[in-house]
Amino acid sequence: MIETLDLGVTLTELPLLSRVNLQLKPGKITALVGESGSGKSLTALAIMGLLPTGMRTKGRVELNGDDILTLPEPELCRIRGKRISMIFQEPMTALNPLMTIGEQVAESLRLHEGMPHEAALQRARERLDRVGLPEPRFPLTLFPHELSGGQRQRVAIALAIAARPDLLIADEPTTALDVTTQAQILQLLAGLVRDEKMSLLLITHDLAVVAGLADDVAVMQRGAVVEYAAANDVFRRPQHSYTRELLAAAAHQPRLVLTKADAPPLLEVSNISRSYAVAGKRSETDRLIAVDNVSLTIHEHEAVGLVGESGCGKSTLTRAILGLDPIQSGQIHLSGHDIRAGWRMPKAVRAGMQVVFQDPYGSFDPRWTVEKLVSEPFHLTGRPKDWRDRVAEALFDVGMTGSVMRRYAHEFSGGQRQRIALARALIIRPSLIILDEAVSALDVRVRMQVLDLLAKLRVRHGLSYLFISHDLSVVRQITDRVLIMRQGKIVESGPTSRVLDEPQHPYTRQLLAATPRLPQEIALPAPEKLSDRL
Amino acid sequence: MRRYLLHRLIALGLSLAVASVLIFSVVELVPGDPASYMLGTGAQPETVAALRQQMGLDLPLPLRYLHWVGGVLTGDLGHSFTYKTPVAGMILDRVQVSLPLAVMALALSVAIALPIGMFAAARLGRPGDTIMMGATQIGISLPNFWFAMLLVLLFAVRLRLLPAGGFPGWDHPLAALKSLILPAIALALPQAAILARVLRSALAETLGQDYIRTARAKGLSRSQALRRHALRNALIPVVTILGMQFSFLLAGAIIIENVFYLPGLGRLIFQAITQRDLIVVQSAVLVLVAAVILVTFLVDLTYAAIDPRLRQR
Repeated sequence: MIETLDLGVTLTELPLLSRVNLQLKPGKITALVGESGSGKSLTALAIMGLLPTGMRTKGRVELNGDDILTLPEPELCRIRGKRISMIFQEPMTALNPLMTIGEQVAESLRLHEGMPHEAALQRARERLDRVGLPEPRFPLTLFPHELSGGQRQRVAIALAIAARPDLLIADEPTTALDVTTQAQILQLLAGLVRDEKMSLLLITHDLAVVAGLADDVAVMQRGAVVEYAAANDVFRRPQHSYTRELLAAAAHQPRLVLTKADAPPLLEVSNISRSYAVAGKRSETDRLIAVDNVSLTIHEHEAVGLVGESGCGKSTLTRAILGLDPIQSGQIHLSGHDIRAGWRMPKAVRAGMQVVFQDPYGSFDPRWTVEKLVSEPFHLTGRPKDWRDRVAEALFDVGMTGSVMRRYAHEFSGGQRQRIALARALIIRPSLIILDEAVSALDVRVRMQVLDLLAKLRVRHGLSYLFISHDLSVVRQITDRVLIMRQGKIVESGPTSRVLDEPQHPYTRQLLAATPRLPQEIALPAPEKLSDRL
Repeated sequence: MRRYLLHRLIALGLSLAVASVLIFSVVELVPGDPASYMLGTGAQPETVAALRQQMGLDLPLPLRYLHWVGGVLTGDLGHSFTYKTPVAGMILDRVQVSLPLAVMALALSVAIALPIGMFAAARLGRPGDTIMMGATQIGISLPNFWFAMLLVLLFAVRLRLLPAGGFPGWDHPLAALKSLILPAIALALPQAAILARVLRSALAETLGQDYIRTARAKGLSRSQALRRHALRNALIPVVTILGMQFSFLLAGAIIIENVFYLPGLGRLIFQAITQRDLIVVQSAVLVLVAAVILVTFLVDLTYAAIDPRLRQR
């Protein structure tokens, strides 16, 4: 058994983590839940002895009674990968791109068990079979770039469990994956815990992910564990106010917005298609069809969700609607105007829609002030004399004060940056805002606030939204209608509540089944029963 | 892989063709007629005309280009205006000095840079790193001829271990090698300093990658992760710089050749330019350009050998 006793981490006297007490028992899954910056990953790295330089540990981490924090580095190397293993959030970059998957799994065995090369490869084969990458589809000689994200995470799991560790630490192992892949990986991890009698420390920001999976749940806030109990108790009788807040935020419904029955169409997409040449293949039949004869309409004041997994064509469709990429057939109209890629699109038409992306930090110039960032869309309409007042007004709209105007993007948290991105989208009063995974990177409480803000802004300014997401639960909260996209086609569409409650297409049902859900009977304050008529 | 190789080969052929046209036309466009230059200012117009005919200078431009290319392909680069000897032989003599010198300098620079770069990268931001990077800064800033003179003073004048200059020819292989050692060191030191810095920064970036964290979580020590996982991933920029350095060393060694009285390519080109021996200039430049293009091709092949993602194109 691995146990942490008053584990703490400091950085030059500044405490980052304090009094973390966890008992990680064989065959049990412990979930470590909290928002970003709460100290989850730091706890994991402290247990592994892989803290960044400059950080110091306090307390004890006991492996079968021996404190491993005091061990010298060579001893720790013999424990890492052998007794305690770890997998990480981002499977796309977690594997060495120049080494075959077989060699990467075998390396761990050669290192810890001194196995000869051939025997290690043979065991690597068994381990890869165990994580669901069997021969002949997945030979040992594959390189990571030949695998999808989910498959790479399986390889990472295979190499973490190769030497049959006592404890596997999984740091947000499914956050970067689609819902169906997430469900498969979680199932795999649960099966491994059962079969190999190891213990699993599952780190996540999403309470729903661990519901029905974890035996124990530890909730972290600001570097400390605020609640630690059996999963059932945490979900049904949360003791700490912070746990209750987290649960409430996950189940929160923004206020209802009622749409007009006979609103005219705003965005009309008719029969558009887009295909790409596949690298290495030249013939027409080998082209990858990203968007296949898709039609959709968004009416004025309407919020429409577009849901699909990565690679389904969402991004290509979005880029076509924004006029960033040409389409090969079909038409797109915004308020009756043709949308075309490139310079042929008039500024006035382009000003009719704006976009907010998943990671606003990447779409902000780090050397620009907020005032310059937010006023940027004025190049479409001409900069008015009172532009500074307009910027302040837009910032006020999204719940920020004018005092932030002279600051830079890196000074803000993820939620604040997303508000600034919204202000930038709002400033020229577009009729349509495209929200491309706009809340996916946010913690649940911040996500709740941004969703509330979106609902409020929609009422105040009569906006339409195209809300793109892989997360059905978020779409349920914010959209009137939803489109389910798969392999370039819209497979199901209709009012959000109908599609999600009575799905017709097997793929929609599959998505719904894979979406993690909190237990129904949590004791929560009643949601706001407010509604606004446009 | 086959497609990648084919593309690289086509690029190689095209670059060679374009380079040959460019080199030919630049020399043609330079004002001044080689025939009248060779005969001096007081020559009779008839004599000049006769020489022009003899040298083929009266033929139309495209024809002269084809003649020249045909000659190059069969190893006939024409005769030097000044020395009246075949240019091919002259260049070959010089390549016998410059090529081994460049290869030795390059090997030496890798041998010095690899341990320094890895040593510094394993101690990023710590004293060992700072000291090594300071040393490479000095290596880059000091001119190589100054190094060369120091080397001569120490190894030739004081210790009398190695010759101070001159080249005995490959008939005496040991003596020939010995005479190239000091110039190779003088050439290699600044290159090694550059290479070590490139390797260190490439390694520093690679060490921050997620797969290094995976390797550490697997139980590899810091230096094992560096050697087994980071080094190969950091090689791409290093190989790029190496290719550029080789091209430079082949002809850019003129100062060092002068310090050590070596009959290398750099000196030949320098002399030919001052003597307006255009045919020698043209041929030598062609040889150098061909070498650079060939090295670029080899660098591309090395990329593919390092990175499986390129092999599968």
